[in-house]
Amino acid sequence: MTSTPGRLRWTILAILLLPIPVFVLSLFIGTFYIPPGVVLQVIFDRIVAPFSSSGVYGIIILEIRLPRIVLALMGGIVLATTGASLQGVFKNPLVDSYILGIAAGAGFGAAIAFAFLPSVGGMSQILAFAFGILAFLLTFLAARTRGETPVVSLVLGGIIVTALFSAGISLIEFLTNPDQLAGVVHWLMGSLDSASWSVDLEILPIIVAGFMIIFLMRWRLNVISMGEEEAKSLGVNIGRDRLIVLGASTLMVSAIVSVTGIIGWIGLVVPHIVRMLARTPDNRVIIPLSAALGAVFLITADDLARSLFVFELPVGPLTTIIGAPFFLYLLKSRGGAVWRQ
Amino acid sequence: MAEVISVSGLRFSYGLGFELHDISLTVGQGSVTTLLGPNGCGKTTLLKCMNALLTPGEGMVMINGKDVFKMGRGELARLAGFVPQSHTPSFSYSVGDVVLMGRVSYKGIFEQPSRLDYAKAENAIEVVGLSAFKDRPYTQMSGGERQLSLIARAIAQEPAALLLDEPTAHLDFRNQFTVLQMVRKVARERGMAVVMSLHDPNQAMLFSDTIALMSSGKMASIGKPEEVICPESIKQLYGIDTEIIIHNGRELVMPLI
Repeated sequence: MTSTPGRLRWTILAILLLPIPVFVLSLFIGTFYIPPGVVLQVIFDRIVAPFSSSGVYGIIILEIRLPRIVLALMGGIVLATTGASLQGVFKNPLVDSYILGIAAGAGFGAAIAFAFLPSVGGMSQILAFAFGILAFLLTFLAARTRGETPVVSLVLGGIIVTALFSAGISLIEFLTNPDQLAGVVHWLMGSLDSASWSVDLEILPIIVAGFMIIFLMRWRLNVISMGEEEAKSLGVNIGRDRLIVLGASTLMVSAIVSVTGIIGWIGLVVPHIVRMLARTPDNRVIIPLSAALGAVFLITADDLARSLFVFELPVGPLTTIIGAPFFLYLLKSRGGAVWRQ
Repeated sequence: MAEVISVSGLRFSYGLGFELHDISLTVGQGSVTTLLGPNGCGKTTLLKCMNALLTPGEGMVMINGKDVFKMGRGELARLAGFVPQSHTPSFSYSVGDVVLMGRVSYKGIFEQPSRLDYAKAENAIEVVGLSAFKDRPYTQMSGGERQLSLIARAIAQEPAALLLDEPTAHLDFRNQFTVLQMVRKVARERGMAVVMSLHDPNQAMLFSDTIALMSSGKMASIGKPEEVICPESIKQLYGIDTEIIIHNGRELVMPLI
């Protein structure tokens, strides 16, 4: 219940505060080298005189790095918390938000934009967002039988929808010319390089609203994760509540994916690490901690993407390269029961 | 004794040949009714109909005078607690967290449990004697302790009726009795109307005020334990020969071998 031992309390507090230093330190990292003293000077100047004009360094730090780190923060929060909440809804610790077909749907939308409407600015974002939501709706409709949407049907619906949209992406890739193909491939890999203040502000309201819904339902997620019948007999309107969680998650993930492309493994790995560190699956703890650690994870991965080489790497493959082996390690070191304590 | 549960003319069909026929039953405050019958006779189906987890084709289930099929899940949960057969959930919540879930029907969709909810959960845990295990993962508890945790959760729910689906399944000898004693204690002390399904006629006789014999979806007979249980009814239900032994004024069913 609430008798968290003292040391655990400190661990939890430390995780919740960790995004702050990671966020600030990330301002010092980038493909273009800026001496740390200059970075400090720029940040200091901006705090003292918020409306002063910035030099070249100022523009790089405040108009390129900062919005990008903010996007990474939002992306990490969204992918990790939706992962945790969908694991509750599906009462399965091995799912993430892409299980509903959102990633493939958004990818398909973006591919259409790159291949057929390359001259229309912002089209990839709009179509990716729309098709992400469409994919979820298709999954939900496919799963719906006689007024109920059983979890197993949702999983199968997600697999079917993912398969169809993936086939669509392949066809578009085949039909398009090499230049546009490069755009599709780059988008599908997942990257934060299209970050800007205007993009960040466009998706911010959706993400704030979605996160508040999930955050406020964190205790109810515990009950939902006990399974359909048990949640019902405890007094939960499972159909309604599940739709709210899935809907909020879909909106958030579609919004992020529409900007970043497909960034994998955060939703799977982060909630597991958090359950291990906090020694509880209680979503009242897991949801806020996943948000914090998800942000740290994606900001750090993007720091690596920006600084490992003289050129920039797409962050999508990086999160997989970090996440997948780590997951394997968890699996091996805990004898298969990853989600048990 | 105030009537809490009233089932009348209940018919249910899965569409696969299995049906419940014309089931009627009333249970008063503080009394324990046991559904007894072979596997597949419809005990679980009846319990699920009583909790509106299944919707019957005909008939009524009233709890405290209200139709269970015409209320929301929240209102029903405040009237009837359901204890499922113990199982292993996907996540290892602590016993305290599991019991606290019993309070969800008193909370809005975006609401968190309050001090009062914690207090009620702790009290329920104390009632079943698991206070020492409050912070232990539910998944690491023995079958009996899990069943007691689920009963505590139902107590925290503060319902008028308590429905239990085979509360002694998969439990060892001692735990079967611990659990049944707890069920009876809850009925007596909290005034809950209890309906549970059991497999053992002797346990049913020891712990019930009323026994309802069920066979292939029908209510074969219903009444006081010593009226209902006899070699003939047992033969009819389970197809085996038994005799009734009276020991210290209690009747026991002894299989003839």
